[in-house]
Amino acid sequence: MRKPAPGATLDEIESIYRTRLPDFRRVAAAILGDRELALDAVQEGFALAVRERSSFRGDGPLEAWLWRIVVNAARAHMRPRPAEVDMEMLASGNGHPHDSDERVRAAIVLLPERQRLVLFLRYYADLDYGAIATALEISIGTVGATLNAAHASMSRLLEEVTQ
Amino acid sequence: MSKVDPVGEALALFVAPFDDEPEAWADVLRRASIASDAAPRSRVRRPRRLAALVFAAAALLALALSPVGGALARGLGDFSAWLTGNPGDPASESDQRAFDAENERTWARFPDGSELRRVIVTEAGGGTFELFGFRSGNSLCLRLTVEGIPNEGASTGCAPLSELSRADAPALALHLDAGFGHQDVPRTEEGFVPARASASFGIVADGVDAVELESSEGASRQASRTTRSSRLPSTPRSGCGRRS
Repeated sequence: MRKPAPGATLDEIESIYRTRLPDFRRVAAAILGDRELALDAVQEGFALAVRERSSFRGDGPLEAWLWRIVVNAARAHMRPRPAEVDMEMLASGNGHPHDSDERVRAAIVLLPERQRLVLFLRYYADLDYGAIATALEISIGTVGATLNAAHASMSRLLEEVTQ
Repeated sequence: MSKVDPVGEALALFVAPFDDEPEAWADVLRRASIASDAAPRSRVRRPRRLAALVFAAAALLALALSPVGGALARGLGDFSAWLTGNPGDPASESDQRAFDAENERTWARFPDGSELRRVIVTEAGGGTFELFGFRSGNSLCLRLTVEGIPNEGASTGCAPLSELSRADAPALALHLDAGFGHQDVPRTEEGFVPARASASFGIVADGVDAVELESSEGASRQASRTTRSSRLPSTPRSGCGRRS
């Protein structure tokens, strides 16, 4: 349902915060690879939303607007990381029994950022294409194409891992 | 039989769900307030003519509550009376019923049986404001209702008890700039219609006699004074200040 008037109220933002907080934190953790940093990013994102609530125009779901803010807050928290994964790990079929899990993680981390974000919002937040499009400021068609590409990449990599 | 989704399984392993994570809405409000104070004025400033209109027509209400006596000796940052007791008087049956009915309709509801207690009643901007307190799980909540203003409603804010027990500041804002009603003025170019009245409320420790608020426009103003309520002698001191 569309908002009848521009601007979001504190109650509306708080309601979504209360209801969806674990999902916001999970997506932020997936972006950042750090659960503690994720908590901070979500808090910062919602604080920004509270401050800028009058700028919400109501031309899309409030929750999608909040997702956009939190995703951007999480991305802003990202720090340059040491090389945690490398391509050779993906190709390696030898080694430690946990290598399989590690390669699954590597497969996700090595996806292009947009593909990762679409996957996180689809699987962790259960957002529909329209909400993902609003959150990431891309078209619905791009969401579908990106999701298909992410699935294809992931499926191929996972198939290699399990062989 | 459902088909296994390997991508979904991989993502489930990638980041485990967050279960039973404590809420920290009060922390969100605190961050919003702190950042707003430090933000460049140009980011939040509205045209001067409009801002003047807002100040002329809006009523700013600040409600502050504090724990009962005895806490003063433990310092300004002590909220122990709030943590161990119940504030105010029992709400009227009609107020309790209205709360229960609204809670029943709410998507993210408070626990059934939440007992509403009336803490303060005051008037501002042509409306009658009532502040209620109640416990919700491990949180202490305040609920502000208003009558007499078009588009009246209620605003609720909660603080985890853990935040009160470890608070290092003598005041916790639970809700900032809750808007009630709309002014009869044209929308701004951002589509914003200022509220007819706004209210902020929270909890303060004993020993706090006044709360000073600053508007988001950057204009500093003294908006709260603390007065002892004769109606609630055995309950937390409560006070209000307003500007219109």
